[in-house]
Amino acid sequence: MTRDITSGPVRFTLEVKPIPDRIATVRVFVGAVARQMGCSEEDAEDARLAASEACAVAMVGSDAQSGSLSVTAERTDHAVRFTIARRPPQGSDPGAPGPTTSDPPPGLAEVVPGGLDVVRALFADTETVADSSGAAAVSFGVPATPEIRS
Amino acid sequence: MRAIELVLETETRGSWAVLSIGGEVDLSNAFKLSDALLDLADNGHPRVVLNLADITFMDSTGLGALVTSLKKIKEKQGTLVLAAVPQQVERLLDITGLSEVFATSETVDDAVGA
Repeated sequence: MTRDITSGPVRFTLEVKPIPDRIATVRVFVGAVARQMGCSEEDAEDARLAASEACAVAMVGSDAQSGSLSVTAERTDHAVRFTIARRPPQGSDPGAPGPTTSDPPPGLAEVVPGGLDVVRALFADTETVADSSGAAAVSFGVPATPEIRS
Repeated sequence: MRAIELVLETETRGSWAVLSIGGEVDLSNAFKLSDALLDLADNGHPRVVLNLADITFMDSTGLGALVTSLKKIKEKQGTLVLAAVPQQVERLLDITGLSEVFATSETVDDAVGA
């Protein structure tokens, strides 16, 4: 995990292997950062759920081992903006379609209305964007009090 | 960090099988939940109570496992009741519009009619 305090807004970044076992790590990170940056307990819990959904969307149907999953939290005036991106391996073209070697785990072929629909239901400003590396990303803003707790 | 442990325990209460699960359910382990439910249904227990009291987190992949299991249990003329549904899971059921799909009960005792 890194924290950029050199200039501009406070930003935390976590990068993990894009494998399902790491989704719990992402939830811990998102919950802790949300609370630290002034989100309410309820909003922090919603952020954990949204992050879990975004991670699942990024992993299902793609190569489970390549590249990384990047989670960035950036403080804005009245929110913490989380951006979750599936980054391809270094040296590859982020615009190129990735390998699709993994199927959903057995029993999960019929996924309920979920994933991005859940993230959008939780946070109305949810966007699918390209992050700073050009990788496809899901971004959502979690309301926060104006001051960052020390 | 190791993968999350999903704790699963089964007991029989009259004509009901009660599956109690604890921990967090997500993409990494949701298949274990559907496997356990379908094992019960396949082994002579068409009436199943899923005790969610010790679940601390579930996302839509967990709900996907429940929907898949419910469908297969119903194909066997069985019943699946969710008992002691935590607030976080209730919220997810509401968001996904699945609140009306599942039979729910406040406690396991209520579900099995004790």
